[in-house]
Amino acid sequence: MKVKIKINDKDQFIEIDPGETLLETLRKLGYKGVKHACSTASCGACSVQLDGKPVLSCTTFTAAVDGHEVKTIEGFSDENSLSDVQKALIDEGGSQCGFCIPGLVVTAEALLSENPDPTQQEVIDYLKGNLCRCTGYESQTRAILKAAKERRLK
Amino acid sequence: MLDIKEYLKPNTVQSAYEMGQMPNSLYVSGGLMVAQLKISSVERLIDLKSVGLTQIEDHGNAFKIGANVKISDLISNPSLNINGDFIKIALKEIGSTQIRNMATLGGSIAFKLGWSDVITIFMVLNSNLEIYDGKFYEISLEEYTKKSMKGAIITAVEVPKTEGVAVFEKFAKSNFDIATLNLGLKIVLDGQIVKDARIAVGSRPMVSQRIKEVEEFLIGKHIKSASKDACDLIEKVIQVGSDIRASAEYRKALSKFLLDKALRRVQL
Repeated sequence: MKVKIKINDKDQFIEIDPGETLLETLRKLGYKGVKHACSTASCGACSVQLDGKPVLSCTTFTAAVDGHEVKTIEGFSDENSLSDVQKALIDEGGSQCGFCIPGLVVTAEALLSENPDPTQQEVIDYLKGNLCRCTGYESQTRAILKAAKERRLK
Repeated sequence: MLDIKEYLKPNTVQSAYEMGQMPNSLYVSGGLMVAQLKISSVERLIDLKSVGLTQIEDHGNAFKIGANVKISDLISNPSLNINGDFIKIALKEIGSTQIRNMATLGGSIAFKLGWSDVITIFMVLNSNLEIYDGKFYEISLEEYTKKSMKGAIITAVEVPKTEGVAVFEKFAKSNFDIATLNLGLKIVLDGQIVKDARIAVGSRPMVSQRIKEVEEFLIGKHIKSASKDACDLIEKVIQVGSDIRASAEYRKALSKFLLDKALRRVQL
């Protein structure tokens, strides 16, 4: 079956299998920043924004996304520069192996667009579904608060 | 990937139901559960989101919530005030931001999963379901959990506006995790005397169930002086089982602890 999805601001007409997940479709199209990890809606590494809200692409049927807008990590920065959230993660030591970071950035971007001035607890609550086995979350929370503050000052 | 032949998007509840009667068909709403299925017998998915059912209507004495309303939309809806902010506070205890953005109210009930927090939360509020299975009718959520209703579609959840204070407690490694036991309590007090009580317990690990013996015990009693005996009673009467998360004995002890916590919270 054929679906039309706007991915990172670009309309795409895609031939899919009826039972295909959004994760499979996106990776097939080359969006390798969308990570294939648990496939059980547990880890958040496959997070993308669907109509501006973070969802798990591993348990979203692509057929259900027909006519909607998807934003992956590739949509938040270009090939030559990192986004402010990504830079803050590096500055604060929030990324070690890096595997969970694309999903975390996508979720953090949704938080900052909903709430530009989150508290530490609001960051922790919002990002509860993005598991990281390296950093222990302290530095990631610090980085998101730092990026939020810098955005507000701009 | 689920190896299916068709993904259908009906326009009406009636056409969705007709499609659902075809062999090897399965309804899908948020998709969280269905996308994880590893069964090869499913040939056809019927997307219920395409029929709408996303309204939250205030009917005066009750709220009617469309089955496809997402959990996150219930939390963010400014007019949905049932027993204060009970629904919003309780639903924040469920899953992650991503899961709440995907899971729908109807889908969270339809699978009748033992560990469902949503069923406990809405059961303690005395909710009714609007069902379509060739005709529209209402059934209490409590009845729904006990009946086999294969092929039927939940179209709405009706939550009565009633007096009283409601609280939700769950014991889990994190609120993102499946509960070892969850408990909802709604109490109506006349001074310190319990006028009405409603208790639902889920993740037993079986599907949520009301604990009527304890409800009846509490009614007419002074809440402070009856609390300890009510907690002892729930431990005795609750029907629980063992699974990978906990033994039946552990769950019995937990029920006492969660009810004690809930009884203290409703008095704050």
